[in-house]
Amino acid sequence: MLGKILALAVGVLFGGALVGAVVGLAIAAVAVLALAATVAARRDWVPLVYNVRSLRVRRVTTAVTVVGLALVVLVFAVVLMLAGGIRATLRSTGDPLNAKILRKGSQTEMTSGLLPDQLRLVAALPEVATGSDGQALASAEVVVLIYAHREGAADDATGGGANVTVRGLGPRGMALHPPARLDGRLFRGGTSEIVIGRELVGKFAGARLGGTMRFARRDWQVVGVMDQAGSAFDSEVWGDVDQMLDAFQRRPSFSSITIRLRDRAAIPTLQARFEGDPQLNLLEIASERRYWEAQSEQLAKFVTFLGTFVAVVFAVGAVLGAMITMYAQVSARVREIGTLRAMGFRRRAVLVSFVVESVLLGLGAGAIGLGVASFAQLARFTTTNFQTFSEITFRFVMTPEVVAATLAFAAAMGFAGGLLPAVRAARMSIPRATHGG
Amino acid sequence: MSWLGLVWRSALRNRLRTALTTAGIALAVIAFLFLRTFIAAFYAGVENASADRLVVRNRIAITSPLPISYVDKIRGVRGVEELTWMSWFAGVYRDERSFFALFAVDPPSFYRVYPEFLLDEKERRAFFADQSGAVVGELLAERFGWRVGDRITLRGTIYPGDWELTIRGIYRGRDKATDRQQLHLHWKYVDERVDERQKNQVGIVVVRTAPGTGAQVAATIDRLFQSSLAETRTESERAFNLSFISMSAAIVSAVQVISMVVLGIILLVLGNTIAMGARERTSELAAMRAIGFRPRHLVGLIVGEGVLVAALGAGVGLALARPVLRFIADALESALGAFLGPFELSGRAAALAVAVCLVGGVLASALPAWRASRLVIVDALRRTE
Repeated sequence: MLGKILALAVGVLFGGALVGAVVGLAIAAVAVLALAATVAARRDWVPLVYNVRSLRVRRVTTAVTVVGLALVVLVFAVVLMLAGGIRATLRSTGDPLNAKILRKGSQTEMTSGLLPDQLRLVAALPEVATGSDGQALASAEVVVLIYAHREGAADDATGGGANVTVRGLGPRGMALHPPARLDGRLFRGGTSEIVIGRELVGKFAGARLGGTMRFARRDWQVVGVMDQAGSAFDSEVWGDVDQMLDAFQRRPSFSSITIRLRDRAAIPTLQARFEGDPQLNLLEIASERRYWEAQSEQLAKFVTFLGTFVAVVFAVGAVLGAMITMYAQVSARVREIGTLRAMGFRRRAVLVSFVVESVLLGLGAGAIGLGVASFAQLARFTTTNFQTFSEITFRFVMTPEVVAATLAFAAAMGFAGGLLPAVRAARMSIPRATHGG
Repeated sequence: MSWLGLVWRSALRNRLRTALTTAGIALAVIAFLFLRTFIAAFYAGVENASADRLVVRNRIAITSPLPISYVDKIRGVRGVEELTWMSWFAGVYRDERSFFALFAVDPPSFYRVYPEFLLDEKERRAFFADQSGAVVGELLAERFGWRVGDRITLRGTIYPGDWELTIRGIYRGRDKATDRQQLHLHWKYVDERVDERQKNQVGIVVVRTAPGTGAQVAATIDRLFQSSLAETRTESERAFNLSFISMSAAIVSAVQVISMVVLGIILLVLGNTIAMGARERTSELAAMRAIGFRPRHLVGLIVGEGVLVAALGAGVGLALARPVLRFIADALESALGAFLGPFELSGRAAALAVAVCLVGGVLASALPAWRASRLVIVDALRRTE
């Protein structure tokens, strides 16, 4: 109990200090900007070339500081890119006009169970769109997790595989989730043919066009590899729902029904209809997009938490490092500061000059960090989604927002590190400074 | 003045810089300890696994059940000393974020196979007798303020509906790594209330074998059900837990990489500071040489300062680590639920952090110290930088 109180106290202290520091920095930034404005108005700023030359003269220390800052920027940028990638993958999964129907109370398809009667009733609802053949666009789907072995791993090796989602689709399933691209062809109903998502290729035994995957005591021929535009379906195996129901001994219970709505706004109407109908009141409906977003919530939160923690720690460390460097710079250039002041530059000009220098350092580090981070876009991050229990692959996505946020972060770190040393530089009296401090 | 006194004085020359460096190192130590503790919590299940327990599950998928009839068949296998069965009961208490592990078990056999769950005799008997009873871990009870006799309701997801339970006991963990955030309820209670399709099924069967016979018994069990409708996969408890961790392998690797980077940062910050300090004092060091200090004295001074600052940082970091770790762990838990093992700062991680700091202190001051030892007195005295 004491431990808990102590922990809370320390946490609040740290948190408070952090918040206080950020608020203080924001206020300081405004103040410095105001000073800079007056300096600019009177055109007596210290020439930028002084800063550039100073950084060049003390190359090694500058380089070390920039490397440290760039490392932090890299971590920050990569975390943002991963969080963005997770959101992109799961937000892009599903069609805005599709809705998913599960058993009431189950949070994921894995734990939901529906019956053929319910499918018939749902397909007959007026809100469900019909296809070109006049049939309702509704697909009963069964979702199962298999343990797929990695390419090259022996069947009994531990850790030599991962959970993969297998989805059995009804005849209209492909129409409801059309892939952006399909290499090969679709599976035929009534056969052991399957189509796999592009992220699975090469990761698991038999996972390639023309290959054979083995699960549920059967061999399944991979006749197609689909590109589902970076969505969750890129990590799934698709086959015929009847075959899957039999292979996994699930008959008659399947997992979910996907329907195409005539109108997106029909969802609340349908939910009300379900609740009012005794045959349907065990169902609940959600837009397909929202369903997939919710599936990633825990993982996204977790990655964001971990990433933020790491970024904050690194940022504070980088600011401390930058501060140490800038203090040293100020002490080393004491005579120069004295000279500048003696020449007539005002205190605020000196302050602004040093702040600008450290912000430039920060921005330089930011550019380098971003440059390296952009290579992350070539990589993929594969992990298990805690909620669906299946393996899913995310990409690192660099958007203009990520670039802007990262550069702002880098500039802020430079500012934070250089502020106090700049204040010290500005406050030095001319005699002391020219004398050597 | 002693060597230590000299080192101390020189460290205090620039108090601000020393303070900032100490703060930086302390921060890095705390981050490193958090990351390592995080990984250890992931592996807690593996470390804690008994060498004599096997887990039998459906070969097809982790989510497929086994028929209850398997239990008696497995009991007859030679080498099986004790067995129990259980199902993962997915349910929600209050809201999704208060996630914790729920198991529907057969109480008499369960506590025999898992002796690390310590339960008072009175509570044990009460639980056995009440089919709608539940036993919870002490950490769980502390988290929600539960006491024996409280009634709680769970919203089932795999087994739909509202499940009312009465808390009949609170268990303690025998080992430090024992999970104390589980809830155990009666398998019979669940089985009687579910519909036909879900009846008479168990999630896994856990078997205790005589020491050293695990592999043989596992093979025998799997052979027994080889061509049946539900083929089994039997593996050691350790392997079973590992297979869950391997799912998050990417995250664990990323965290390990980051903890290495944190160590690198410690070195960088230290190195930069020491180098700066040494550079500033070139003329003083030269003066010391001029009055008779030998190069090795200068090396000792600089390295000593590096080690001192590193030790200070490590000390502050260690002092603050435990409360900070608790705070972060609690924050994680309230946001995401209890999916990690016990979050305990291990002595080994702490020792590693201290060792890295001290070694880092030496490494970081190596180059400046070497440069100082090679000072040409005349040139150095002349330098006005």
